[in-house]
Amino acid sequence: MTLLIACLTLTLVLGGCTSNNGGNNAGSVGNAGENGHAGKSEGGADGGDAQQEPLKFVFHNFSSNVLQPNNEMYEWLKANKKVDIQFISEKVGDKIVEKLNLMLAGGDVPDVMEIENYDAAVEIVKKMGEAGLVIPMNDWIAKYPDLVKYGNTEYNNAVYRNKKDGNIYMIPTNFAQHEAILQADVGPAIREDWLKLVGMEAPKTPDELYEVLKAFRDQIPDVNGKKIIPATFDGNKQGIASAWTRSWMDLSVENGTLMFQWNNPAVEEYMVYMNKLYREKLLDPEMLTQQPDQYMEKLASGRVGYTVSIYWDMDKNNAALKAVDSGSRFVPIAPFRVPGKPLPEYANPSPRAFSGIVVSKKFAEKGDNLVRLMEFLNWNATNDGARVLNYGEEGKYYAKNAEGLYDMKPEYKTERDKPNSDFIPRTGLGVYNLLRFMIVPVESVNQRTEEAQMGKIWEEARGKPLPLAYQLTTPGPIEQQKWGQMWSEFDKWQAKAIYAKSEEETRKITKEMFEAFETNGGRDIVNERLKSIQEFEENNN
Amino acid sequence: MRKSKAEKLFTIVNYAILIVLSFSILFPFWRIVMLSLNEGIDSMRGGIYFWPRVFTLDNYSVIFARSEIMNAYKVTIFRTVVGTILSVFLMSLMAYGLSKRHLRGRQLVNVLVLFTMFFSGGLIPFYLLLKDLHLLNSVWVYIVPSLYSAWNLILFRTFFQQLPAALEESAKIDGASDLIVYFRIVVPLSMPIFATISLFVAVGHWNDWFSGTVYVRDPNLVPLQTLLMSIIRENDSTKMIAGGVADLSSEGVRTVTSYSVKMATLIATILPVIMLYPFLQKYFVKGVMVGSIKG
Repeated sequence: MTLLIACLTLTLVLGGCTSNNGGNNAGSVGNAGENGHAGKSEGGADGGDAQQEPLKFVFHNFSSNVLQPNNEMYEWLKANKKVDIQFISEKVGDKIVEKLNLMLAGGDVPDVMEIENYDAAVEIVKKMGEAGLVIPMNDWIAKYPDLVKYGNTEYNNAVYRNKKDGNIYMIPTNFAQHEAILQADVGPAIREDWLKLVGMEAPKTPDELYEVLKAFRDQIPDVNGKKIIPATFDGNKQGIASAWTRSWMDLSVENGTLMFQWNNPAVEEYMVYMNKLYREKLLDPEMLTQQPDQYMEKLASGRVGYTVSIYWDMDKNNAALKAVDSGSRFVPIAPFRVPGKPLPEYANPSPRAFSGIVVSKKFAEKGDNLVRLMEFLNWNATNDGARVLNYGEEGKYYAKNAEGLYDMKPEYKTERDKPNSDFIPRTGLGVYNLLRFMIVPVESVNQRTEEAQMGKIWEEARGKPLPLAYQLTTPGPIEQQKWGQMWSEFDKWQAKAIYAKSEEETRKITKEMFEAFETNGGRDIVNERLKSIQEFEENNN
Repeated sequence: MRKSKAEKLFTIVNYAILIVLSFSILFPFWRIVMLSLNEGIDSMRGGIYFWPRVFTLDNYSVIFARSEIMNAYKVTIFRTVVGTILSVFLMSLMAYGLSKRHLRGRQLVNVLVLFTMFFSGGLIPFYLLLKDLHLLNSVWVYIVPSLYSAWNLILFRTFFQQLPAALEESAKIDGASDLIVYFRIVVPLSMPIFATISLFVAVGHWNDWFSGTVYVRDPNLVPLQTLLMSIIRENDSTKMIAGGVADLSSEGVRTVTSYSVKMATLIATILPVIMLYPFLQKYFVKGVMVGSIKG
């Protein structure tokens, strides 16, 4: 009897939910005004004063800082561009996919939304388009091509176009990896003070590095009673291996070959070289087992001479070093290169957009909202527009220096750099650049530290964009399952090979590694990806 | 009574082991406190164990100088206090009823409650339900959905079942109603379970960050943990990896680091709970055997 009543109750509940879902189907668009004080979407929708009233919309963002409600840029845009942008920032971190799924399920999409372009997020936006929650942007991109000025049409079509209906439902934005914009961020770094102490030049080749590290080992005294470490690396040791393999991957579409570092024969010489450094006590024995914070602690403690580093980590370490001795610092040096081999590639430009703008159908259908919004975005996609949005009113916060570059005035720089400064929340500078449009060539002073700016020396290791055939083919099931595993396996094999007792043993272990990767999934990943690339080429030719 | 040498030795070894054990438990916490009071950049050099080397409150000012922090504390304190009181009150009432064998339909209700422990509709149906109930973007979204927990309900019910029936019967003979029996006899005898469940529920409310991430958009309704998580992310330089728009204010090197802010965040999070614990400790000692003995 109990079971019967339980089943009946369950049936009733399920029935109730189903009938409710009919009323809440995805075709019904939620009220973006559910955002509390952020205001409702309105606009010049109702005739007469359409041109006088600012276009009001909610701009929903998942990563920016919170702004003060009536910040300066908000007021300027309202007065001068007739747009009233209610900026909402929700930091959801890695829960963005859940958040978007809930929006899709609930039919509750903000007027205008910026999302980061994770693959999963892009797919959800396509589903929102199919459900009629957001509008296609194809015609607007065609009308205002500057919106995607630094993008690549083929890339955008492959990534953002919905295969079912052929529509693109988002405007790709933030092309920070564009060839003209991408700055060199990672490369070899060495202790400048140690180089001076041993009286040597910055090394560029394996032999030069070997001599320098030997000099460090023999001449640099212990630090706080602990032995110095001539060289240590974190995951960026890939940059050293790239001196032999050119990059972490090597694809030749013409020849139909693909190699990753773990199955590239050239990696054997890298292993032999690192083993030599290890045997001569020039390499940190904990290199392959240390945690990131242990690695950073070693660099910050002043015990390490050479590494490969991202510039912001280098800056942090330098701040710690200078706090003890103002003359100590890491400086970027030229890419590490094997004579006769191509330059390594530490970074590759890409037409990838890091974010995208999505417009809700409910907002777009009201009056001339959409027309006015697109006109505003088109203005955003001009140098003048981007200039105002990034620097504020001419001459107020920024002035041109002797080289004609925009530089923030010192008093505002001080205010901006204070801990918990409200400068950005108060002024809104940079935040209302909704397209994340970048002016090319760069016309502002490089904000990076002196040492980070010296990273210009790494520019020559900036490779070409990866073949589109690779960028636009998604990982297959084997790659999805085993990709991370392969790189962990590679680290384990590196540990065995680099920590071997002799060069012969290193070579033997490396050969065993190549054999292992033929059977543990490495070869399957390569074959699967090559097949996808081949299909891509056939479909696009 | 004089202790033998063996007993003295045993005591010494016992105390030594307990001291080492206590140290191994307390030291990591102490170190977190010290790291939170040490300058972030200096902490990177390592060697901070017992005392800060470069004392600073900057790590805390990153958190507490935020204008949203007081609001976040208010939201969290409100939901913790109100949510705990309501939840414990309602669950205990329901559990008391379910502990009575003579209650009709008791089996059915027990089955339905148990069912929810093993199966749920998933995030999206739950979200749609909250939307239909107009709980989204409201402070009650933190309280109403979590009023009843099957697990805690079962703990309450088991405890109530252990209470001597004779006490209630004698009260009923004297003319007490069920509610009077509950409030005047059962509740005073059940302080251990009330304290235990109250702490479970309160800690659950205090630590919850997920609800604030997905069910709320109004920045005034963001609870403490959600805000602290976003503060940690802001100070994490790996956000630059996307090569996105550089946050102008973060290009310069600051003395706080993501790690040092995390340490301060940990302290800001657990300190209120640690301060509350001594007041409830005596109940936990009694409550350790909750549900374990059947009378």
